[in-house]
Amino acid sequence: MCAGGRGRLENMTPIDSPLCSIHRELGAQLVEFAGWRLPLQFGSVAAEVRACRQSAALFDISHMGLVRLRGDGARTAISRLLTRAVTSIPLGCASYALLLNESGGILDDLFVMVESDAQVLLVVNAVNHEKDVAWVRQHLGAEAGVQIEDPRGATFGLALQGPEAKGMVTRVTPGQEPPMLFATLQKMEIGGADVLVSRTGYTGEDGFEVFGESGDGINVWRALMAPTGGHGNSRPTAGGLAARDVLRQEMGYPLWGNDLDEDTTPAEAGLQWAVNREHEFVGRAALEGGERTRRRVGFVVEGQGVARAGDVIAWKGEAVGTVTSGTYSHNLQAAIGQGYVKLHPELVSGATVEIAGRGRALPARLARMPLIPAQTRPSWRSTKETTP
Amino acid sequence: MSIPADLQYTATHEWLRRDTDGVTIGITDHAQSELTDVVFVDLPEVGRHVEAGDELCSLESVKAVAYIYAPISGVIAAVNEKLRKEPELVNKAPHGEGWIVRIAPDTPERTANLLDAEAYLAHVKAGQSAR
Repeated sequence: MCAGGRGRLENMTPIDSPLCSIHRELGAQLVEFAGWRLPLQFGSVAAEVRACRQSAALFDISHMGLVRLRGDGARTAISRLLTRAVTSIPLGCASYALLLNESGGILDDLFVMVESDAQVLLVVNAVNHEKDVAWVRQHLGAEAGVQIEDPRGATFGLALQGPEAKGMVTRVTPGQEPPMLFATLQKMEIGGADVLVSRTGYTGEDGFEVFGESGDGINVWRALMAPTGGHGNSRPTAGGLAARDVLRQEMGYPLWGNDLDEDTTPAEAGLQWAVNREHEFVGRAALEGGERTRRRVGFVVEGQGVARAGDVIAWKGEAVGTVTSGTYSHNLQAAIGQGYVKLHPELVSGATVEIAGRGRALPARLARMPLIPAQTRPSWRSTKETTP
Repeated sequence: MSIPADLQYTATHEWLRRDTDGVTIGITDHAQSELTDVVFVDLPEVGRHVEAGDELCSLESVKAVAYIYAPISGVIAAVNEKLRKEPELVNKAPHGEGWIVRIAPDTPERTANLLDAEAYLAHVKAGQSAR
């Protein structure tokens, strides 16, 4: 058997997630991803995906890069690099935002978390961590009143996702209140450790992301894995990167490196909603005149086979685009994915295309994303949106 | 990881079981685990002649596509039709119900380049430590 490669595997020695010993105990298959050693799967990917959609799954996301800005000027300064005005994000709230280059290309997509008046946390893609830190230092390093910290390797991250996630967090944090709205934050104590809990995720389910110091990772994992007290006794299923990838593709969430890159603009990626044009930021000028010629679309394969990144999307015999991510959804019982197609009034949801690669062509239908309805909580924006 | 002693193995993670009807071929427990959940098996045509080393068929998983190679020359005598509806059998029972094809070999004698269980285990371990 020879497996076709996919994704980015780097040659450098990977850093072990702080939770690797637990993953090995659980018999996980570990893989390298963006310089980290992380679990690919614990058992069956389908079972992990199902658990997340039906009860809850716990994912190790220690590879996610944290970049912290401190100081009185931190919020104003970082606003100048992000498509969201961080100055208008309330304390204790977070927002999805893009980091753009001068040409309006997407350097990274990230979550910006306003921890306090003088403390902002960026949660960035592992593959871009070093690049993002360098970019932030280059633009803000000389800024008075702003300190930039990169705690790479000193932190852990966990994502507890699914309809039962809230109940599980509540059971392990008696007397504490978890963040209630999507993209809100709370400092909490879990398993004896001080952690930052954010009501965010990458699965489309309600859930939490938990960040703390790497030495506490195992205790927090164990606490979340064995919620006691109350009347509930269910526990989350350990989930790996493979399940996380299926879940995010069911939601049509882009993955930087596959579906986003530095030559792609927010408009092409369908991420204009994350761009707040009422404030000044690097790359904004380039967005004004730029005309998009292609756009990101989702698709569902109607034949027997899985479309993969790099496959060609053809329509009426003409190549009109490229697949950037593909996998199989057990929920939809079909191969799914996303890619870019040229702008054309008929290349919309419902259009039938062919996806060609590796000597065969699969019939597919363009589909509106998310492919499965999101179950996330209403965001703080639904009640508190402010404009600068 | 299960590596039954009564099977023969290839360095590319196929297993072979010889009996009077021919040679049954599948992928190993290690291979199915590396591949993650199999979602489609593109079974070959029964009656086709294959040379050792030819591509037999492809397996699509959540993670990747994998190609299986013929470990011996012969005619494809049967394919596991069950896999069309239940590809997950490759994960659940890789050495049993998840078999993939049966080949009637051109030459029934034992072929070189096959590994016994012990040698295959060593091969897998060497691959893991190389990571």
